[in-house]
Amino acid sequence: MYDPYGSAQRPEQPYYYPQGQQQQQPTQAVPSLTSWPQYTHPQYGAAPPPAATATATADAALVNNGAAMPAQYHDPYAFAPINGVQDHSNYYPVPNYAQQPQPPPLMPQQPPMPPQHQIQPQQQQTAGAVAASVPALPFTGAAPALSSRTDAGGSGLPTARQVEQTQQRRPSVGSFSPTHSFSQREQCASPIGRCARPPPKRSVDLKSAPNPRRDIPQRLGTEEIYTSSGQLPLSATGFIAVDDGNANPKFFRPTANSVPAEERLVKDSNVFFGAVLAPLCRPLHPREEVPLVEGRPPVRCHRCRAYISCHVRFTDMGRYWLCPFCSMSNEVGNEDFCNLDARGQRLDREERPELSRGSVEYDVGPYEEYALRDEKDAPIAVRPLHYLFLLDVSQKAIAKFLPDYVDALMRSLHEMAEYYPQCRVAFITYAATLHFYNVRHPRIPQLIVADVDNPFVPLPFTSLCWLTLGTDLDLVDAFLMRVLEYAEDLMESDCVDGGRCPGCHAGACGAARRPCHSVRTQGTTARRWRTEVEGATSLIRHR
Amino acid sequence: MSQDPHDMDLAHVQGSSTFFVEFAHEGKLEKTSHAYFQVALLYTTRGGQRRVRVHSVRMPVVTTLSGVFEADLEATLMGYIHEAIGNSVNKGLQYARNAAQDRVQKMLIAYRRVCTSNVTSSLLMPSRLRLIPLFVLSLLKADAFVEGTTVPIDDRVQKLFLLMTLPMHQCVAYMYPTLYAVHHLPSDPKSGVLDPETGRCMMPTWQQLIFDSITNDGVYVLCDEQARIVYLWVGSAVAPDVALELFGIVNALDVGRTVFFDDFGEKLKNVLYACLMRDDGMRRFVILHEKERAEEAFFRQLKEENEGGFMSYDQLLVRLHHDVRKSMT
Repeated sequence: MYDPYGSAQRPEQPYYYPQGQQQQQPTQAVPSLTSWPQYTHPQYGAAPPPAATATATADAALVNNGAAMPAQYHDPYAFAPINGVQDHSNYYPVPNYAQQPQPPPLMPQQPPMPPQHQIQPQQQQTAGAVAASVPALPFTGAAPALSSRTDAGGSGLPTARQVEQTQQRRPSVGSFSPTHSFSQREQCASPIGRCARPPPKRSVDLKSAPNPRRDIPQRLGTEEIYTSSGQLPLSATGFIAVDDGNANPKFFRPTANSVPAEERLVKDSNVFFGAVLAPLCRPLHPREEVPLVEGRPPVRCHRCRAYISCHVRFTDMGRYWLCPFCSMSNEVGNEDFCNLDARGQRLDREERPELSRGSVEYDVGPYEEYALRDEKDAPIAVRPLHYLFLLDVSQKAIAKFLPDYVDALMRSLHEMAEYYPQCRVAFITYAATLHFYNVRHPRIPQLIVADVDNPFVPLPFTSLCWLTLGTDLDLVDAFLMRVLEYAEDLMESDCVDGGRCPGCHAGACGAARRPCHSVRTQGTTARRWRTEVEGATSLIRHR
Repeated sequence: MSQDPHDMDLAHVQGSSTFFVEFAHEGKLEKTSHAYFQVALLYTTRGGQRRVRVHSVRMPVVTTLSGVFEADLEATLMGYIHEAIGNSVNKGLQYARNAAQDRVQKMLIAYRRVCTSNVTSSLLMPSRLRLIPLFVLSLLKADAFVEGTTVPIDDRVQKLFLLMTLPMHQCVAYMYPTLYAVHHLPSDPKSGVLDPETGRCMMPTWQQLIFDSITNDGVYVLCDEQARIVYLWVGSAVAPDVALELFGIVNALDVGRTVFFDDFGEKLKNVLYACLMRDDGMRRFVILHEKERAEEAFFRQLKEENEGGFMSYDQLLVRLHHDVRKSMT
């Protein structure tokens, strides 16, 4: 069953940012004032004329103050939630609102060339008020209208915003009577309860400022993309990337969709130019698995040693291929030759993953060029991974984590024995001294090395201590079940771990290729082995 | 560990191992051509097989400054994290914090200059990077980079090492904890149920990390991926019918005292399982009630407030706005 992120979060649609619209404040305010008489509603026609006049004057003053003194931006914010309350009552006669005429925009709106999002304090307050009133709606009948209204606000249509502003200003007749606690109540997300902690007075309406709730899509559905499209969906919400010519963004995620042409662009923009690499990324959907090429060596450029890929171009009827990195023309070997089609693609492209996929894996065991080498540069025979466990058996470890750790270790090794029976494990325990064990002896005798400054291995480690999981699992169990027994017999309080690994000095680590300092961890680390693909003595080269 | 600029020597690499690399120009790229990247990993599998894994990417070239701002949020955030780690280790914590803030500021100033055709007093941000100021603010509030001595040095170093290889899909959740309002589960037919197609729990909507989101009649689940804790915060005025549906008991005050996980409703258990069971291990589960002393840790996760003494999100935006406008005069 495909469960990439432990069901933590829902997979979402690709990360889409609607472009924010830029508008001039005075331009927005003037049409609203001009259009005020057009929005006289029959319900409010009965209002006394002096009150209406006073309201209009107050609105004009607010607009003028906002234009003249930026500090005045705080005043409209104080009324925004109160207006939200009034808007709640206004949302009831939704059909009447739909029939009202809309004024034409005075100035044509030109979309900005670069995509951008702007933060306008007043606009944010307006949007916040609208958003705040939506949860307060007691009935569901008008919900679609409210949703469309919110969507219109989100899209930033100038006409819709002018209408919204007018709607906001009209009910302000009654906005002078609510109390402060009422205002605080409306700032909460709930219409009934109050905030557990009172929100502070803010200069910016954070509900309309960029935040993950608003800007990261959380809709259902498993997003599927093709890698050659260059899309970079959010990893946090999950996606499936079908490899059709570029590496999966889970393996190689660049900081930008395009590469800057020169250094000046990177310096001037202060934007990172890099990539996140996770070459063995897990978990993966079955459709994202990397194909394995066996039986033929990787084809590489003679000059820069880059691997052949789906981005190379074949020339001279398929007899040569051009390296995309250094433009070298490489000859195609006889065993690799194939004819081209009318578009210059090889006819066997689909049968060769390295020519049709962005990610590919080669089995290079038979080729000595890729073998592990020792200090004398001689190839080392291929062998399974060896794990050397150094167990802290001091008093503190017994009291804190050792019992849980041994239990988790036993379970994990049993699980590992099923998948990788050829792996080998060995154990050394330590506190103030080093303790080696002859695990093949029925009574598992313990040999203590007290001189930790000049350590040595007191028994033939290679032949006695390494246990193969597939065949010696019972010996592993026998030892692990007695670790606590040994530890309680010793009852040492000191520890020689600090900063250096005693096993490294003893030389036993020479046979193991896993870092030794990771043993002092909780059980969760041990359990991680079940899903991980591990490599030893790995080498990453990127061009 | 690397012995030359092109190679990285790795004793071991896992499925969750993540690396950030930065590129530099050695020349100029032609507009009509593409840029190519290739990553090759030579490794031995656990079973002893020698493998080479090759990842190849082709990307278009852009010649305008506005095109450079078409950046990816998550990879850019990883860049900020790795730059901050390098700076805090090599040049000091204060330098790292200032450098991260300066970089955001300079990016927005540069972006503002690109949009000279639009005369406006608003704070403009690149569309795809508009969450960067908030995430950098969260980064400065992370245990690895927070000022003062409230975080023990061992904790801080451990968090730095963890951030160095943080997998990409955990990046956003690490910086900005996910907050769910689970008191809406009884009335929401789509949340808290298992998707028959994927078998996953359909989670409620994310809530914003501000005080306005937490009400005393609500019940909230917050996933703190930094401390690997899942909080269940219970308000003091939860409606009896909601409490009955969520916890099987009318009085929500008994949650954590006489009512525990196994007594919870099916929907709430589904949500909690999804939060607690992760692919990299289980999370700790903590039940909190309103006005308890321990709820300080819960409210400290509201990254947009200035809980703990550092800037709040609106203060950061006002400051950035002020700096950008000052640079234009």
